[in-house]
Amino acid sequence: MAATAELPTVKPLTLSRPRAIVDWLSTIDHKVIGLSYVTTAFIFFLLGGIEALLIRTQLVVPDGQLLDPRAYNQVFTMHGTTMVFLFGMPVLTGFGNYAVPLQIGARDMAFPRLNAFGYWAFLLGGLFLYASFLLGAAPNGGWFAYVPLTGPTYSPGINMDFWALGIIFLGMSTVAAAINFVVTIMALRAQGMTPFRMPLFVWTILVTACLMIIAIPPLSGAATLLELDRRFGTHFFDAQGGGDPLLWQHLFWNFGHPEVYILILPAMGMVSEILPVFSRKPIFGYAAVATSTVAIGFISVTVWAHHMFAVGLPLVAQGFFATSTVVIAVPTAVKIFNWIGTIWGGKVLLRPPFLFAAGFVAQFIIGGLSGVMVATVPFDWQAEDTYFVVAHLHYVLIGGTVFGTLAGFHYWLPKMTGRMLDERLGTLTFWLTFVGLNLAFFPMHISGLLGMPRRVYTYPPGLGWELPNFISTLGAYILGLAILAFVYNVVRSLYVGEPAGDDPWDAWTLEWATSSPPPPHNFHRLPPVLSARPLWDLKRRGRPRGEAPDWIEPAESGDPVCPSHWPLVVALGLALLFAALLVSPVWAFAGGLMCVAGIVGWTWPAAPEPGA
Amino acid sequence: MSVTSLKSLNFERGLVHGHQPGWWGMVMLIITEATLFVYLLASYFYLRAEAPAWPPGGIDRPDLLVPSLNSVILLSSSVPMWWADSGIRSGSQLRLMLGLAASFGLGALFLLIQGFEYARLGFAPQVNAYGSAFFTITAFHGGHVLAGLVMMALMQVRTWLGHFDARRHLAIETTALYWHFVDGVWIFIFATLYLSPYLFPALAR
Amino acid sequence: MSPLLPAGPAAARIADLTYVIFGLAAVVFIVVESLLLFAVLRFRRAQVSSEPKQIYGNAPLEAVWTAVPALILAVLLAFTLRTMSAVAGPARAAPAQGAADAIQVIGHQWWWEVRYPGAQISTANEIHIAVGQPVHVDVSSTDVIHSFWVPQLQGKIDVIPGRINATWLQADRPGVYRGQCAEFCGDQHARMALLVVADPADQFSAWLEAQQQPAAPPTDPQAQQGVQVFARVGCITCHTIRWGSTGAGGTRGPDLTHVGNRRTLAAGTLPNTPGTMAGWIANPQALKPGSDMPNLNLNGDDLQALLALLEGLR
Repeated sequence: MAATAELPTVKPLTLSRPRAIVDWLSTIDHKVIGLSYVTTAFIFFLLGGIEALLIRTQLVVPDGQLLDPRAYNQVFTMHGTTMVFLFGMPVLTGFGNYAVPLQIGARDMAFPRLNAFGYWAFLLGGLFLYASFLLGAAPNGGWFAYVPLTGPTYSPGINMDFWALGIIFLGMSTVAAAINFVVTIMALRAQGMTPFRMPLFVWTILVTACLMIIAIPPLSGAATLLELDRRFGTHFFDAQGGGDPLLWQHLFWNFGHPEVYILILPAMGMVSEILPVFSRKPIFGYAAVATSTVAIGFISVTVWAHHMFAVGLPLVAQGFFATSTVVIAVPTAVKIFNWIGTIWGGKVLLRPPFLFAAGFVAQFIIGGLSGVMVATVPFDWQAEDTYFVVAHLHYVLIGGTVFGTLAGFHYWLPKMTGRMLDERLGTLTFWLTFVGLNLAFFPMHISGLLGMPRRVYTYPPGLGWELPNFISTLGAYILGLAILAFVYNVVRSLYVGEPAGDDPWDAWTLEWATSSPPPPHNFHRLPPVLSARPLWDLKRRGRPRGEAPDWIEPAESGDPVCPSHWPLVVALGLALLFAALLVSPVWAFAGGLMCVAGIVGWTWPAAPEPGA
Repeated sequence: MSVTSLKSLNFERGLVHGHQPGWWGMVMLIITEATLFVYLLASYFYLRAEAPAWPPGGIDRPDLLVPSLNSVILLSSSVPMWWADSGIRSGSQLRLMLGLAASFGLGALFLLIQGFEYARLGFAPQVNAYGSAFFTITAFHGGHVLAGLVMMALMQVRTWLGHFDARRHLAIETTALYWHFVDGVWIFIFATLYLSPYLFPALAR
Repeated sequence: MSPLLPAGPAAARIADLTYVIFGLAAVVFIVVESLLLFAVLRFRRAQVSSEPKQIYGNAPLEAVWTAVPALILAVLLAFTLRTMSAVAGPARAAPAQGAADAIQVIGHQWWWEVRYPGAQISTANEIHIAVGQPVHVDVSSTDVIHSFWVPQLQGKIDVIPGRINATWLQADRPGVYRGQCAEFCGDQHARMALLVVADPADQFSAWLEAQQQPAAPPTDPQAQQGVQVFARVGCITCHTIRWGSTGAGGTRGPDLTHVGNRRTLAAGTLPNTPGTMAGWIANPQALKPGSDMPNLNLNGDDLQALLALLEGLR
């Protein structure tokens, strides 16, 4: 390509590897942080997957004996908690972290140290939650922690304290990342990148970040009130004291519903990047896709009580929430048609990123349809809290989020590592995941419609639940194989993968205008941004059209930021604070002091004399 | 090929729509904290809607005199903060120091009086949902006030060390913004906890 | 236990709606997946030498595919709202007078207390109704949130402490319909089932009358000994047997006045036979670990005496 030959050559590194672990602890490079996020999230994904296999093995036959109910309750609670908080959000945050500055032509995020803090808080929060297993006291009240079961009377142990404190801690990580994304996208876009020229992935991260900013408060607030009820004798959720168990549900689902859009929108963004590149034509209806993303964001805060259709709300209220839920299905449907329209009339390359992206569309259709079904309230009165809902949520979360993430991995790992993944292994991973997902979760529609409730550690024979459960377990193991194939592919590629070069996919967004992996400052120069496909413009036209300058400099975020250990110090202080809240007020105070000291160090100016 | 030194579309002279990114970061933080208070106040109204009497359990409606005076003390602390902020913009270290100190003093007085009020209330957070909500909401706010006081103290020290001048004072801007938020949100809390039992007695069934 | 095998009008309305939405979903599924599959297969290439036509969108087409789903969903919503009032509406009405028309169901960890206030009956894990008769059900909980769900008769309703929710049941043909708790409620959530027995009106009345009778004093000497054992080993702390017009005993566990007639034990966990009854009393923690019923470590004689007593309570 004529354009890339003109960029100065940069010696590609196999990995932007800091020289020692100490460097990693003080890194503020969004690429290192992004990679750390996705790697750590993936490890938690494996843990959550083991929990899933334990569940499926316990349920493979009726009256299973693998796990007693106490153990089972911990396993399924941690499965949900891990997948949502320790895999889903962080992996998408990680991809956002890596790709957004590159896609907008910036040097780093707006707040590089805040970025690092977000990662450390995530890692430490996850370790905090998992430390509970070491005490045999992992959270056991469900990932949604309904009171009064999780209140002081019925969960007297320390399990749910781990949960509540862990959730509050992790919430800080999420909000930090969200603030960073919003300001970065507002402030650091390359010249010429008006909002409607931003990559669609960036749109989805922007909306997701806004949702995080308003959805984490009700969760952290609710978890705090729960801890107060549990340990300080307050009465927010206990009916006898004038509280209300349903208050918990309202607060939780005010978080929980935007949360599911937080989990799906970035994955949709990745699909919107990948399908065009592998169909060799632009996204069909960019404006519609961007607008529906924003619309989904807005509407998502109005639908929360569709998780509460069985609690006895007035019919009028249920009707309202049914209506808003149906409304949100419209922009979602629109996206599906835009994606099909992108593929239609293209020249499609069936390479792994495309397979996963198209697979996303195929399975999200199923998940979306079962979602519309449970939005029809009377049907939900039967399906709620049965395996039908488990089927729905896994089709959208695995068929959606995981497929999108795998698509993103296969698309962007070459940029991150400089090495291509093996195509045949990638295709194998796709088929195994596809078969595994459908085999594991389609039968759950059936077991749900045969009356099987959720969150049961076992079930009796003779109700027809045996066969669907058996098939589901088979599918779960196939999914496990798929993930093994993927891990093997990734590790192998680091050693013997073909060098990727700057632009292995002949793609069109700015991250492909630099080396793989990019240099620490991301770009030497940028092509001008005159449309949503700046590289396409450059490659097709050779010279940019109009009076625009030939090249532009990437945006700076003010004073350059040096590596810093303060983010880690603050995160460690918080970890000490939360861990100590379980045992000792004195140590908690020490943790608080450490945080404050860390923040002081962090905000202390590097240059002592202003204007000198 | 020529390389021009134009920066980003929005990033002229290092500003985004007239403010540095750090300022916008504080705006985002304020939005998330404000959302938290929205949900806490909504919870108060939710619990109230289900109660047969409000306040329940024989508790009297809150005293208005001292809390109103205390509110004046808190809200007025925004004035010296504004004065300090605009002072350093024109390069006056003195205004900055004095303004910070005055705000700090008023804020600390607010917390002190709040502490005395807690003792005078006659009910504990553990008595019922009303007590729980009342103490928790005011304590959350008090925590935010305390954080603001710590920020002001830190800014005071840094002012003495000469960190701020007419051009470099982002930390003061963000501190001021945060403090105005803390004062502003108190208006809503005061209206909810102290005024609404008087203004809307019919809200409880 | 399938909602798609309805035995009463409420479940039947829901099943009808289910078939409609399922049909709609199936059609949409076939159409959209076919379009996707067709696009992928038809336009696939092994390699690409030139670009296809670069199409950016098509406003009229996009308007159509926004409007059509919106329309379909609006129709769906209309069906939904209509069915909602038909299915839930009757529950909102105040219960009719008479013993048979209104019952209370109270959720406990992990069993269902069933009361017929008009007839002053308390039983457990089994509801009897007359065929064709709508029965108002008030539900609440003494501890955590459970969910009352008998899929062949009605949608589920959560059972929440501090709150009374209302639903209604009606069976249009005789049968035994299984239900199960559908809200995670702790260790034995999986073993908190119940049965709804729908009988023709005369059989139901006979059952009701029999339930209203106090327990017949045992004539068998072993059963008489069982009465002593019942008090001595502590069963009486949690369970009541109504010998006279009022009961004597605790209310933490199910009322046992007519336990011999129940079809299951331990909230649907076991069929009610002498063997399972013995096994349950001897070692409840083995069958339902975590349940409130402790292992009493009874000797053989005491166990046999209790069995004789309880089996006789019909």
